[in-house]
Amino acid sequence: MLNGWALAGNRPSFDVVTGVSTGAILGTFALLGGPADDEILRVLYTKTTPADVYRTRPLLWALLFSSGLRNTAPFRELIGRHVTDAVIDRVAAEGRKGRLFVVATVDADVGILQLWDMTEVAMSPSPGRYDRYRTLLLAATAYPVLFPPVQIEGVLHFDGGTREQIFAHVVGLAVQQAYVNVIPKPLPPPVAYLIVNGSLVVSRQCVSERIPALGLGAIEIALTQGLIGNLYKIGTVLDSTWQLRLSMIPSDFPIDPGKDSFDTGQANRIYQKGLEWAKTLPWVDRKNFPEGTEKSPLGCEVRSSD
Amino acid sequence: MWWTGPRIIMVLLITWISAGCGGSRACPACQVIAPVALPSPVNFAELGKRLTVAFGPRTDRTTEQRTMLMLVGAASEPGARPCSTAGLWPATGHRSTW
Repeated sequence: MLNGWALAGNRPSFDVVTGVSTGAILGTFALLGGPADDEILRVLYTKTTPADVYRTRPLLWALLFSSGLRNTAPFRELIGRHVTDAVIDRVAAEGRKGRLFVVATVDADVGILQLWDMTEVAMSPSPGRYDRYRTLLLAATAYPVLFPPVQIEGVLHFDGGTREQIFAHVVGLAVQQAYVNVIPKPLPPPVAYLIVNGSLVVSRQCVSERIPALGLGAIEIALTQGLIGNLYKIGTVLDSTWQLRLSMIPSDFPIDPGKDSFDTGQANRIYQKGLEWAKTLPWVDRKNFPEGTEKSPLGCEVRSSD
Repeated sequence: MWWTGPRIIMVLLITWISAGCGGSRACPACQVIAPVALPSPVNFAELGKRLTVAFGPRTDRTTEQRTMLMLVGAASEPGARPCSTAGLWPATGHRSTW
């Protein structure tokens, strides 16, 4: 979608970029915004295979001896290939202009959302800044239980999306205050673009009447509704001065939830949809945010009662 | 004997001076560089300051309109994606066909 938007020629140079989970990885290139960066976005989205991201651990071994079901050593290498020292130096250059890129992790011990100013990390005089930048990206995408947490200065961190899938609270409040403080005169209304890499409906599944199925299904329902709640929260925190523009994968777009997140065939279909979508840019405004009550396009068989 | 006391002292003195001002602690050029701490997580007040700069007047700005991009990752399909990546999808029930 970002790439299609760039091809359309009207993608802005964002003052502030925030990224949660894999949005943290994409955020670096969305901030930089050049043609080469767009190409990296395309490669990351369409060419990344499961083998590029993780190695499988035997389930029993992982449960007994590991901090995650998957080993993310390949993902660390993937980040290193694309988020090079030169890329981080360019982020630093953007930071010196005043632009801002923020990602989040969650402190695994106390559950606090930790916000990281990646432009500040990139601008740091410390020789360890490159490694820290890449480590933070790894931590910001470490989905708990599935991927191992990442230790930073003795603290375990994992995916910030565990706490907030959009930085609705702290960042939203800070943005609102900063904007009120800094803009004394009428200007074109500021715009917050919210890009959700999903459809905001619970994936279609006819659950079996077993604890794993019901448990996983319940988690998905709760977290999907949590994201919708975050959307409404940011709609409350950012006042009507702000235009909110939401983009998500249409709920009728066929996504097979049984395929791996990094299935390239499915990723390519979504990518093409994004390019197509960007030609018309049908943003959803705050009055039309989804409520989480959409019906599944297909029903399940009616279960026989006891 | 060549190695007399005064000569030894002279050699040590020359070594000391040529090493730089009598030891690294006394010489700015030889000071050990203290490790630079990496940035910590940013708090609300500090974030506000940086946002003020980001939304404030900047020389590189090409438009007056302020913009912010908020990217949400695969967590937007929180149950399904990790579930499938973990190979647990079959455990959730009857898989849909497409």
